[in-house]
Amino acid sequence: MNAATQTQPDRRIRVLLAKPGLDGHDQGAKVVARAMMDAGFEVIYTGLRQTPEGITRIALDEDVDVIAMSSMAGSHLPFCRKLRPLLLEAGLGDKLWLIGGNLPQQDHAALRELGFKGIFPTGSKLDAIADYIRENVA
Amino acid sequence: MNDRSQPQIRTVMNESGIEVQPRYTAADVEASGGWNMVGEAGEYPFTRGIHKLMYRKQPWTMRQYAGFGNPSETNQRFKYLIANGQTGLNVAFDLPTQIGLDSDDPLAEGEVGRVGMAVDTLRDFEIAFDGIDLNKITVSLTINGAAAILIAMYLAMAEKRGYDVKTLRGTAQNDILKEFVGRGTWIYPVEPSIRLVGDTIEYCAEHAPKYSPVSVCGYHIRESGATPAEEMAYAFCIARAYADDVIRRGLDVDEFAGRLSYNFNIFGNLFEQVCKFRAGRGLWARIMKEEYQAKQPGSMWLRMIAAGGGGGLTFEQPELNIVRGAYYALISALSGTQTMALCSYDEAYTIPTEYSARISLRTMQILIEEMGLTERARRHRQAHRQRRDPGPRIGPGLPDAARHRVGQVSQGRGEPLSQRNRGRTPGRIPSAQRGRRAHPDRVAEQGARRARRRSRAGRAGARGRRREIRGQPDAGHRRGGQGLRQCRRDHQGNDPGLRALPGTDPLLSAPSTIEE
Repeated sequence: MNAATQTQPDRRIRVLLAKPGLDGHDQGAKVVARAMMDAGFEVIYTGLRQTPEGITRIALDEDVDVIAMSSMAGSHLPFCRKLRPLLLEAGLGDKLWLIGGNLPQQDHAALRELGFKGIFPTGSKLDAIADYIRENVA
Repeated sequence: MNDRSQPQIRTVMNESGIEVQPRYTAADVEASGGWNMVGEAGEYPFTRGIHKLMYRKQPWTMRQYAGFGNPSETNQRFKYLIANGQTGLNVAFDLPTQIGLDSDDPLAEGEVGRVGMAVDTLRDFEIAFDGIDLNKITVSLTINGAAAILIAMYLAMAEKRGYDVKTLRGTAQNDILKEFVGRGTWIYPVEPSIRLVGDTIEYCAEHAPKYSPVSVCGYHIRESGATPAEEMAYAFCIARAYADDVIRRGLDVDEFAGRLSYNFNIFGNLFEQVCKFRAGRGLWARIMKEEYQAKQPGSMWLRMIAAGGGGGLTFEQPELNIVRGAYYALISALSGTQTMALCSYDEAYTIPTEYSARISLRTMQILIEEMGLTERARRHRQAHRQRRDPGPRIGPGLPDAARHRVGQVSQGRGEPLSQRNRGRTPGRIPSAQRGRRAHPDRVAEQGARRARRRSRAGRAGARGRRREIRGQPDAGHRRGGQGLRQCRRDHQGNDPGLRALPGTDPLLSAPSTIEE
């Protein structure tokens, strides 16, 4: 349990769900957001076209446990490379970082190396995402 | 136990919420307005088609969506598709171009050339269309937020090459309201965005009368979770918003309505899809004639591009998408579309390769060459049956459902303008989408279960197949950004923005991993 959940035992797991980059395909993110709410988490959805700086700031301001991104248009690796140092600098390295969307197999290792431990490509089950968050937010 | 005197049949409800009867009779036709609601092909209200002879006179235009990387790569793909029998071009632009950013904008980093062609300058257009006869091949520009600028670039490129803009045919998507409702790629707020669309319609009415300045998209609204009836309803409401803007400028409806066109989606129940188009043609014709007092038949025509939507495709067992695509093309032909752009089987996880794009093209060609879809002027055969029967089932219900939704949408419950101005998009669309996502692929799921029962190696086999498909040779995936560098060289000295681009972008050489 992290400090926040220890001091507030009733506090729900907080998930930041972000849409990085210029793409407007947000149906996947919205479906996941609803499923995470149904799973009992508090979800903060950023809306479209977020920058790495913007995502970092929202994650800090909202004191989230999970930083999740939905990427559909192929810019996930360059974006995560820019996001990683900003999150670390902001002291968010101990949060759970997830990414989902159109993520080809050959990029998964690189995403993991960048610190995105949970990778949920197209076809992932909603329950699997919720279970992963429950098991790994500690 | 079954009661033999009263057989129990299951209730069938289609996606638009209309109960489907097991059979329809002449009484149903009468109840839905009678034969006048159908009419002959080529005659008001054009339910059976906007042209009398349809495909007998000319098959549908085949216009696969293509474009990626730099203009030279896109030019190669265009030429490949034309060499394989494609009769129109449908240009995909990358997201920075769609949002009006130069390729060297910090926000564009990682997105240049990914989901379409990068266009920064007129030179890019000249490279992309080099060697292509713009009188023989009509070009559709899939661009919305930046459409006014790219239409100007296209016409300027054509003029520079000696074409007469007065006779140049082509289409721009230029439908900004569906971006607010369903796709998310807008630049300006709603009101000035509509004004820009109105500007392009007004300009084309006067200077480029053969050019279609707008293709109103039910397509993306359907992809965002709308039912088929809602797809039609939102599209018509959006078209009315543009028409109202242009009429307020003093133009007569018949001066521009004949160049409005539509882009619709096909996936889901075959009969419901075909009926959607028949109902939609009749409804649009009545809206134009009765509400807008259009006089020219052309102003009442629902001219459309329609074919497979990516929303019906699945990542699992992608080869099944080839089968789906063939049915979508059949539906499209049965629906009397003017143009087809068929989805490719790999669209669920990447930009279509040359290989998959060719399969889609051949699928459409099989309908023409082998299946006889262009032999008869009217496909839902048979006027006599039509008179007894509303034709494809659910015919009577769908216009009412769509009209009802048009009413709801325009009376503010889902009106794109006012909703957006209040800062929210219609709530129904994502919720409908969620139900679909919960069961993304029943066919694949059931098939996979059966395969697992048969063999423990089933999963490994599926993975192996996917790799094999990914590995198809595709010249288009050799990305190097050469064209952009070429462009930078060409412009060095007169365009400081382009000079600032990094010399080599390793991101551009990565394999593409895009959805449309």
